[in-house]
Amino acid sequence: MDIILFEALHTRGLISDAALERVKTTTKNKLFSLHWELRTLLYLGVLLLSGGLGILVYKNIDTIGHTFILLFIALISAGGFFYCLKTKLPFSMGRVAPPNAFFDYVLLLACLSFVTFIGYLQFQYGFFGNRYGLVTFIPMLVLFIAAYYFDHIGILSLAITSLCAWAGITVTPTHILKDNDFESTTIIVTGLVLGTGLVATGVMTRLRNIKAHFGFTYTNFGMHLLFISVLAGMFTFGILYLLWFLLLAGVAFYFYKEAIREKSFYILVVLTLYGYIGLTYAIIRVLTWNSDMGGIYLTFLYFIGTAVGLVLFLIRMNKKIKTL
Amino acid sequence: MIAYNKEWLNNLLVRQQADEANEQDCISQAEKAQVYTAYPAGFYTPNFFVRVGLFILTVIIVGFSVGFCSLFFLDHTEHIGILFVFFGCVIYGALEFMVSKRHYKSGVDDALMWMAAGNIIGGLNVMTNISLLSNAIIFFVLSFYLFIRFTNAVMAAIAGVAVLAVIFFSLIRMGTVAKAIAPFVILIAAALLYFLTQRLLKSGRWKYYTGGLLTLSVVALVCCYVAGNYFVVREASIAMFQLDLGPGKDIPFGWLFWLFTFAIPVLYMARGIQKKDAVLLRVGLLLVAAIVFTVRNYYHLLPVEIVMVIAGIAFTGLAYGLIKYLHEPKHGFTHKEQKDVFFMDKLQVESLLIVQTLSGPQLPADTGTQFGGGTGGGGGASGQF
Repeated sequence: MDIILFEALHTRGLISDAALERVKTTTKNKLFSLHWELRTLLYLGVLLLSGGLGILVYKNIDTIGHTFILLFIALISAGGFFYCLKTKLPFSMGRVAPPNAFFDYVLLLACLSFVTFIGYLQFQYGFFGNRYGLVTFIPMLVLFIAAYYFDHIGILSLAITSLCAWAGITVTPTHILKDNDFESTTIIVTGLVLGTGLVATGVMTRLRNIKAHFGFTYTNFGMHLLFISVLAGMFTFGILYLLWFLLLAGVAFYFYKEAIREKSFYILVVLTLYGYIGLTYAIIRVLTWNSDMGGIYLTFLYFIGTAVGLVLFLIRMNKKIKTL
Repeated sequence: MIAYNKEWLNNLLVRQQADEANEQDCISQAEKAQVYTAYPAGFYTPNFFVRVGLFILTVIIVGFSVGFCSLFFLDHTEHIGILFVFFGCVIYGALEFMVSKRHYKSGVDDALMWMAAGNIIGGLNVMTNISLLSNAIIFFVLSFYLFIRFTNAVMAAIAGVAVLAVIFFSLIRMGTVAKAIAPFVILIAAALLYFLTQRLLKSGRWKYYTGGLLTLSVVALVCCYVAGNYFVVREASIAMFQLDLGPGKDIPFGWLFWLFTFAIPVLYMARGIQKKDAVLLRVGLLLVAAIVFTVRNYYHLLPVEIVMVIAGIAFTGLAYGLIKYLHEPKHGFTHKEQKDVFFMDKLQVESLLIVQTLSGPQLPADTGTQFGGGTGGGGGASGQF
């Protein structure tokens, strides 16, 4: 902090003598924080280690026995869980801080190797037979339990993605549009149900006060899944698109209320952009109905006009949420 | 020079300091509020997410406006370049107008700035065939101007790269000797650029440009390394100067570039720790990855998975050791976080990162090579449903 500035503030009578003293001592004793460097290093370490071990196992599958490999992976996982069980702070329905800087990463390593373990078991021994669902279901269950028991939002996100995988949908942020066939009815319906379920869970989490800080994670995944599914429905079921548009409007309205309640700019902007895509689709279909030049001119004007409108909307909403 | 109201910019800096002091429990909430009223800032700066939204919408508005106007010139495509330059100037006018309407980092001014620059540069390139050197000069002039006028950090970075590009492209026109010493010249120029930013940062007279100067110093450090990196020098010599290397032959001064490749990151980190300079330290750490890639590109000492395992153990071990060592702060270092990260916390960036990089049990069969040929949950799930 800038001592000269605070001295000036002090002379103007804006801060007290004690405050100036505190600023001076804090600045003099300021520590250089390596927090983010060390966390990145730990994270990279876990990432490289689990990835490297995976490839190592894959390449040497012929020379090391499968049992040995399985045992080794199980050992890492069990060791990690054991460490976490031993060091964790008592469970509570609220937020529980990790007991030390490594806890989160050890838990991550334990969970990841558990997932590998189950997958390996199925691949090599066909442990679950043809009940493929179980191969994703069991890790999902363990991930959810670990997330709640040890209070780890990263693991919760992994659990939610595996829940979606179990239902047949990829929700990894950059893969959500690429890996899913959003023209299939099953996927759209699954997406709608899952999205609604996740949003509902988010609400329950908050109302019942069960790990209330997990709420945002549920709402966030659910919100994107819902919007994308509704938009996909609109694009796919051509004739009924007005019906889907109404559904979209409903979803957008719900999240509008949610944004106001949470005072969340993030939800507001997300709903605005998804809603805009839907509205544009509906309008453009009408405008380009008989594909002549006039429709194209109108389309351009539509974009300019609505975007200006939305800019004004966002500016107004920004003011509104700020004063809430 | 600066388009924004300078008094308000100054007040924003004061407010920042008050925020910091408040977070560190030096001043009370009431005192912070007093400082805020005494130092008003009338800018229109919305929340970060709203800024992103406004940015996207402004791009839509400007893009479609340009498209709409172009519709009337469909028969005169030969003048399309001039048209774009003209639009660029109009957009710049709109930018100045919005800034005079108190917009500051609102998303609108950001979008207009990028689109003005893009239109002008794109238009000029469509109009005539411009050489690399002239393009570098155009980039430099535009981005430097926009940096000075709107204090934008990314523009500062572009200006930094552009000025080095100008030096490089003018050098290689001067013949063989100039080509041979090009890496050294760029290295020295980047180093000078870094020292310049440090001097400007320290002088305190350019406080509104702090963000831009910091970005510029990162760019200078990275460019300094790139200019001396063995891989870059070797591949650039082969690609650009038609250097014909027989098998087993090395580039001239090969040993020197190997030395740079290894020594520069170490130097950065050592200085960073010595001077407690986060920029030097972080850039140095990042460049360690560049060392590994450079070496692995020429010498396959170990298979990649062994390197990964060793690095994994080394990283976790190093982090573990340092955190234990810094349990009590030593030599002015701590492993605990300073309270300036609640933005990251709010977004839960780390949990997103975990999902993105370690996508859990649903690894689809084609990407899951690490699980003994890609099975895991993925094989079942994505095939079955």
